Amino acid sequence: MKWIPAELHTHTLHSDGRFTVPKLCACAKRHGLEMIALTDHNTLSGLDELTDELSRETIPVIRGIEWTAYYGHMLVLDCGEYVDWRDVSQGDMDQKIRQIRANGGLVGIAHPFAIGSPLCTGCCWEYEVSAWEQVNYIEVWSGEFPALHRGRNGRAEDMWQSLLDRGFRIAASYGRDWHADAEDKAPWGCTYLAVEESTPSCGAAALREGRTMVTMGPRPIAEIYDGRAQREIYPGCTIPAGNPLSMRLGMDMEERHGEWERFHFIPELAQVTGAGGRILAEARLDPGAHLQFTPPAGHFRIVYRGQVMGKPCAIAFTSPYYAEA
Amino acid sequence: MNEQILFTLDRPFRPAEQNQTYFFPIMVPARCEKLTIDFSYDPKQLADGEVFRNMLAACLSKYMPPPYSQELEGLPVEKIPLVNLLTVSLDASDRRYIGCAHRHPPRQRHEISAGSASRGFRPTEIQEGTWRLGLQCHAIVTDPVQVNICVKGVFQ
Ligand SMILES: [Zn+2]
Ligand SMILES: [Zn+2]
Repeated sequence: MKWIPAELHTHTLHSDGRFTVPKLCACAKRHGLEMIALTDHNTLSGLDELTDELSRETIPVIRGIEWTAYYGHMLVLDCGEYVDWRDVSQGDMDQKIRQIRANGGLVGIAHPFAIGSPLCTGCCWEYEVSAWEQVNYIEVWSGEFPALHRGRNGRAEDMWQSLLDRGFRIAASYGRDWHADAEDKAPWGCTYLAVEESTPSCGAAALREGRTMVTMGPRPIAEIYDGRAQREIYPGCTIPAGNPLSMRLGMDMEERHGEWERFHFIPELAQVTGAGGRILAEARLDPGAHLQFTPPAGHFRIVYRGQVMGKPCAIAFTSPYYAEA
Repeated sequence: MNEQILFTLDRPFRPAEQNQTYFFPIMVPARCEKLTIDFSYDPKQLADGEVFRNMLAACLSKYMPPPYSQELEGLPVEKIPLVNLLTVSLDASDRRYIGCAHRHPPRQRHEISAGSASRGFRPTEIQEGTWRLGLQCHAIVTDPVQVNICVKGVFQ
């Protein structure tokens, strides 16, 4: 298994983006990304431009669409059959989500706390959902300098945390919501996916199984070993509660550094957090850290903190690991 | 080669009609090779004034209430335009989803045929039968917005 950086929320001229499909792919590669999801608003037409050659020579692309509906935006990836969004009402999103899942698709809630209509039409999530067990991921961080935006991303983190606390297994993603290549004045982010191979289907499987990490810059390192079960643990894994885990935590300060080093990342601390975001263990990241941690029943995840552009903030976090009694 | 008008719409839509899709049947005769859709709406933008300021303030206080509103400080929020956003989508006679042009320009022309299609739509053979045009009213901020649609068939 290897970790690859991905951008899972992109637009082209097939909707309101400024990229052609090949230009988007080339631009993603130039930014050191190793996979993208193409998620144009309400259309699949851009997917017809994806070729084996583009995937092999430039970047593998997960097939997707952004449901740009009236009361929320939803990322639908790798779905066998087109499921129509145009007749969804605020009360029957559950049924649509089930239909997507029945067709093999992945469901991700996009930027749930973005400013909504009419400034950004349908951008804030206002659909009723009770079938949260059908939702694969939430775009917990989106946009520029995500950790700073409490209104947009802090509230999405709180929403995600409370769903995890209720027992739902939901992965996290970052979405740049990439429409054009602009000059960076602050860090963006990416989603790291743990994949067997760099293919769209392995990328989709990582999201489906919750093997993701989100960062604004350096790649988080979470090498976690369950000595009793003699296996390496990835986000999304289910492990027995009470098994002592040996963790090597850090941040890779080399990978893609051209993308983020000018924003001055100083990693300081890794925290293992559980229900309610409570800190269960922590270690200083200087330069790496070893931690022995025995999880109680429930979910836990790792948050990497430090400074970015002189501001103290979270730099990265993993999707949850699940410990069962 | 000749053209035939298959469908026209010229009517005002009001703010209460936003957040909905309106579907219209398009009867496509045999031997049609291409569909063209001319779509426009007017105005695009809500002019500055009390209605604009109230609508913007209501939107920001709904979606970025305190304490998050302080994150908007220093941003030129009063300069953000409030605009109408309407889009068209299309389904073939066999109910297949052909696509949608989700983008902002208020004057658009689209062409769909077996060999090619405007971006947003998939190339599709124009089979005889009842096609369906969708008008997605994502945002109607002016009262009213005048919508114009003309769908033509191109025949050999
Ligand atoms: Zn969106
Ligand atoms: Zn988007």
